[in-house]
Amino acid sequence: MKEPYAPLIINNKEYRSRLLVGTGKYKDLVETRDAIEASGADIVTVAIRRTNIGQNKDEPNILEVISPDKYTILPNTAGCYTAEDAVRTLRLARELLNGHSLVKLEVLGDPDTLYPNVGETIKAAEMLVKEGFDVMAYTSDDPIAAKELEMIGCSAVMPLASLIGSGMGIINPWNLGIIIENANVPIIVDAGVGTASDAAIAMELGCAGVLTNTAIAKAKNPVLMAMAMREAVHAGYMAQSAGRMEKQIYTASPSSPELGNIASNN
Amino acid sequence: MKEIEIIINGKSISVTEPISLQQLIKQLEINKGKFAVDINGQIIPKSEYQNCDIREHDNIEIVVAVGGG
Repeated sequence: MKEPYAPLIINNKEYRSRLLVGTGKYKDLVETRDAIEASGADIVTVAIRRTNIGQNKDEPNILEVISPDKYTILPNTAGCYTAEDAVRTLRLARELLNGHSLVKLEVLGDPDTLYPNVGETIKAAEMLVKEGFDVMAYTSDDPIAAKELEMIGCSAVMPLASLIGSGMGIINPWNLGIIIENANVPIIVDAGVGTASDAAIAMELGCAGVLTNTAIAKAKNPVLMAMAMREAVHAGYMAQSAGRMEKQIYTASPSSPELGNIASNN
Repeated sequence: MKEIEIIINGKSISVTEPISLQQLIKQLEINKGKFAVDINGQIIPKSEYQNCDIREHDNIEIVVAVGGG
């Protein structure tokens, strides 16, 4: 039997991998490159930051190891707390990446939890969509917020599984389920994935993809965890396609034949 | 020739007028890899660096891509 395969489609563009990965928190650029490669991801996030004027002039650039020719670079607005700053950051990103329009919008509400400010996110999304950006919006797991972002014209909606960088896994699968059920755009879990099983569960719930950074970068062996994530996303996707068995609460059902064992009288 | 105050990446510096964005970038030795510039919130395309004159109190952002999630 052939394994089920369908590419991730965002704004009519196909991506081979349903795993999206970040490039932050790695030991160095070599480890970044090796882990990203091992993950098999097509879409790779980067942050946009002020250049160090007069210092570290020869510091290597992330785009030299994660080439825009090989990967779809997804610039983010991490660290922005207002719609205005997020929009300004992404305009700069578009210029930096030669007119590239696919972006990850995140507008944060508080530096301790990094929880999204949904009001500002919606405001920024409206402006960005009007300006021709293809917006993948990080948001809370609120089904109403997710729907609103879809209605504005976001290309994908990315609810959190749990807090950014927490590795706490999927805290509220029921909310994710509601979001997925009602969505007409890809729903991609972003933030909170801690290990491969979390990614598999997200895919089994029916997510179109998983975006993770810290779970890979902060694993004891990031390259191996990147491979595990790749397999988990694929396994979760196949399991979802296969359709799981019904759960039988309080009822066991033997897997072996009931007849003909040596203790029976039949 | 006049000294003017400008803000680059949140820091105040003084430069000698007249100076184009192209000259400023050369002076700051920003020459490696991809970067993007906005002045007072307006993106300046690379093709316009040469014709873009820096004015007193301009607020300039020069950014690069870095690792992030």
